Amino acid sequence: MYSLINWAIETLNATALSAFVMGNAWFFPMLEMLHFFGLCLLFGSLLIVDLRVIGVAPAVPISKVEIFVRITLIGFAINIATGALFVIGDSDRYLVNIAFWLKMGVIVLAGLNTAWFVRRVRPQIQAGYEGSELSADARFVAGASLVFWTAVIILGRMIPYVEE
Amino acid sequence: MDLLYALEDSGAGMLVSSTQWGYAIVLSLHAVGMAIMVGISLMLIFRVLGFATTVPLGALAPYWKVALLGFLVNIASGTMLFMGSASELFFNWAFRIKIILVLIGVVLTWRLVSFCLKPAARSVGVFVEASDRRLAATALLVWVAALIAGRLIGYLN
Repeated sequence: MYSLINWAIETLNATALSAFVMGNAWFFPMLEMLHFFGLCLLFGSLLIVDLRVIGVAPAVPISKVEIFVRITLIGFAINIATGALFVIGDSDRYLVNIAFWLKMGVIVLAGLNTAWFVRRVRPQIQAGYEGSELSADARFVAGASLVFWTAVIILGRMIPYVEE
Repeated sequence: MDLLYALEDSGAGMLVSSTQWGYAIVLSLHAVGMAIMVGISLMLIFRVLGFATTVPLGALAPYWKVALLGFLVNIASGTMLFMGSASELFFNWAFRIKIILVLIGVVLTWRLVSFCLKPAARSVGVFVEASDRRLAATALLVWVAALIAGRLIGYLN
């Protein structure tokens, strides 16, 4: 496992992209700002959708709220791109960091939760079900989504503070 | 200056600056509060700018309360972070600019909410005035600038 990580670190460090990310004073901070903006898009839009499923803002037509997921996907795309550049640039910092790997793990869990949402909850939302018409797991999935992404934010913020 | 040092020596100041996890935990709370406050503000701004027009503006009003909850988290966590290194942050220009931008962002978004999300705006496809869109666009720029200034605090320390 460690030799695999070492190989990844050496390979990434040898790339020109890595040198570019770390090679100037402004690029890394700019990526961080974009990463924070992407985070706000992702979490803000999920709050709209998930809280609606849970029962907040009942005047919002539940079948119309799904459009906010587009913003979630834009935020996620921004953060995949900027996050990948962090790792490519500074791999010996991230790939050995426990908070980073926990964060990646929770993102996978959030992804599985989203798959559940798409399969089980989305058809109900599109049909306009709400309140007690929604299946028992719908609110649970929506709540779990917010819990997972809150954990992702916290673990990401912890990365610099769990370094050896 | 004495006041700044006194803040650093206070219980909350010491919790942030001198305990193993104090700073990281309060900073994490600050990031979550930001995601709630700025995240929801951006969604309301996008709606006024013409996104998701099938969702009635007035129906979104309950989310503003959630946003203010996030703001409350960040007033508390931000105050604690300031107390942790008051004598440095007070003279940090990125910090000063960020505080001003956040206050402007809150006021502009609050105005937007009171103009556009009030009960009279509850029907679908309600008319958003050009002045509302200008207000929304300004609020968007202010929030982005606040994020940038906030991120720069660490680099100017």
